Amino acid sequence: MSISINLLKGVQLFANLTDEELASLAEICTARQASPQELIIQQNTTGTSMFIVATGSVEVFIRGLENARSLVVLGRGQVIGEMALIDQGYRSASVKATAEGAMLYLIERDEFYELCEQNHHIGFIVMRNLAIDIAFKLRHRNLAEL
Amino acid sequence: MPDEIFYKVSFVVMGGDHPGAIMTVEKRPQIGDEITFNGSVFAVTEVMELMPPVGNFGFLHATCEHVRAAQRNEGEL
Repeated sequence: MSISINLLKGVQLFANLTDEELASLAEICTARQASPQELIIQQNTTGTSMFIVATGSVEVFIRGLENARSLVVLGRGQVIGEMALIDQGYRSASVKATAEGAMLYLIERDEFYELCEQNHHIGFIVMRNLAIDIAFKLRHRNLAEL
Repeated sequence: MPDEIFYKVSFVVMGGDHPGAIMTVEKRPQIGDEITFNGSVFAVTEVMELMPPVGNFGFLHATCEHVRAAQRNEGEL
């Protein structure tokens, strides 16, 4: 099942891209259905993909030595695993589908980089939007911990 | 036709230990609106701009309080 351009227009990471650029992105998105409570990303493992939440929601949490702590619930239009596109480091948190499950679209880092090599405007816009997304999540976390 | 306006919203729950949620919605949340996420219904008590808009995306912060557990017919946002 391919992702629609209209759905991509509701993803802030892709704001200000043209319809043609969104169509190029849609070509490298792969659908993945996550069952209720399914673990999607495991903390401290390596990964090469990021995910877009199309429907449903996911819960981001970190696990310490003795317990796990929920950080945020991410719903429609949000991205997870996006740091794999930048630092290629270990996953900073775990992510699981909530009780309702989630419909996700996956983008592989190598395919994304190849697309950015072909169209630098896509790369510039997405990286700028990614910085905004990380700033937004940081502001949310600051407010949630007040 | 101009692009549709979207709102990326940081929902923070007052009291308890719920971490809150981030969602993108097409309608700007209003005080008194009920929203559903993570199996519960919440009422919005405050809305403010969190960051300046970029393109057709606004960035909002909404404070909310727990109302009840969601029923099966109360879908998520």
